Amino acid sequence: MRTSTIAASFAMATLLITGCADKTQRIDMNQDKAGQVMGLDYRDFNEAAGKAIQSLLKSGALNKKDGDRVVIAISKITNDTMQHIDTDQLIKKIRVDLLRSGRAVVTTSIGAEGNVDAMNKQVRELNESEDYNPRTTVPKGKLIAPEMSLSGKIIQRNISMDDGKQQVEYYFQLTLTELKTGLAWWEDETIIGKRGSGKSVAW
Amino acid sequence: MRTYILGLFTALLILGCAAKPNVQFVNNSISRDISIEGVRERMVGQLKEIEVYGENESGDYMKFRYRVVWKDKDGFEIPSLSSKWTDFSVYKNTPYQFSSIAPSIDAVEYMIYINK
Repeated sequence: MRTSTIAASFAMATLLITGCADKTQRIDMNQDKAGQVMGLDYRDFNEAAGKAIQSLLKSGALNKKDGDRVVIAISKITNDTMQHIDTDQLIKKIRVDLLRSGRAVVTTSIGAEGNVDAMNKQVRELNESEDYNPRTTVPKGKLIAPEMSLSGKIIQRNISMDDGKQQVEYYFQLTLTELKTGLAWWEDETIIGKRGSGKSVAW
Repeated sequence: MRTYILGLFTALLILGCAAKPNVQFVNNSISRDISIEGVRERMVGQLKEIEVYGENESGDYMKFRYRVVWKDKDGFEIPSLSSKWTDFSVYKNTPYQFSSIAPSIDAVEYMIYINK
């Protein structure tokens, strides 16, 4: 009897706790009016990537005389913030819109770590194997060399204010370099600033 | 002659007051604060660029958001980051403008939405 009373109390307590807990909600990515966070969230990456792609397309740096697409390699994108972010959160959005634009195509055969598809190399090693039909392997000289390189850096600056608040500044810097000449044909910077409690942690 | 002038005047009045066909205020109260004078278009290479221009007619610094939905010749939406809301601010009693470039060479039509 005593055991069953304890079990019933436990079940009741569990129900009470789960019943009162905040329900998990899915974020509406198109209309998210939730408060800002001191760190970087998807809204910041969307803004930075959106401004960068608009600036790049407007610059005309991707306009070739023959109307053909520019081949771009993704170079090093440095995360110089205190946060453990994957820079692909920024670069992938830019890559997707670049491809859609019809003005550029990104190579995955060469680039900084994380932006290379190892299969490009592995599939060429099949040429040495007798197990594969030579007509189905990739002949030599088919890879397209990049004409331009996209590099960048995300910087974070934390500033303590006189009133005890904290200001965090994020700088999204990107450069498009023509590899033949080494000249930067396009550069841009988006700054996102946040101000909040000095107790907030921005990493 | 009198009928002709009256007709011309009416037509001018209607055209002048009509909302810009490619711009829509999501919240109608915005029209009390800012006006849209027009939308400029030009080509940047093979891509169409548009610029919305108008004036903040209120006596306050104001913040708005806009998004541009680009469509191909068949009216299908071309997904891009420009279809996400972007903030823009306007100083009191001053002109403003913001621009957007087509996300693709296939983008020929567009719709601009402005919200608070």
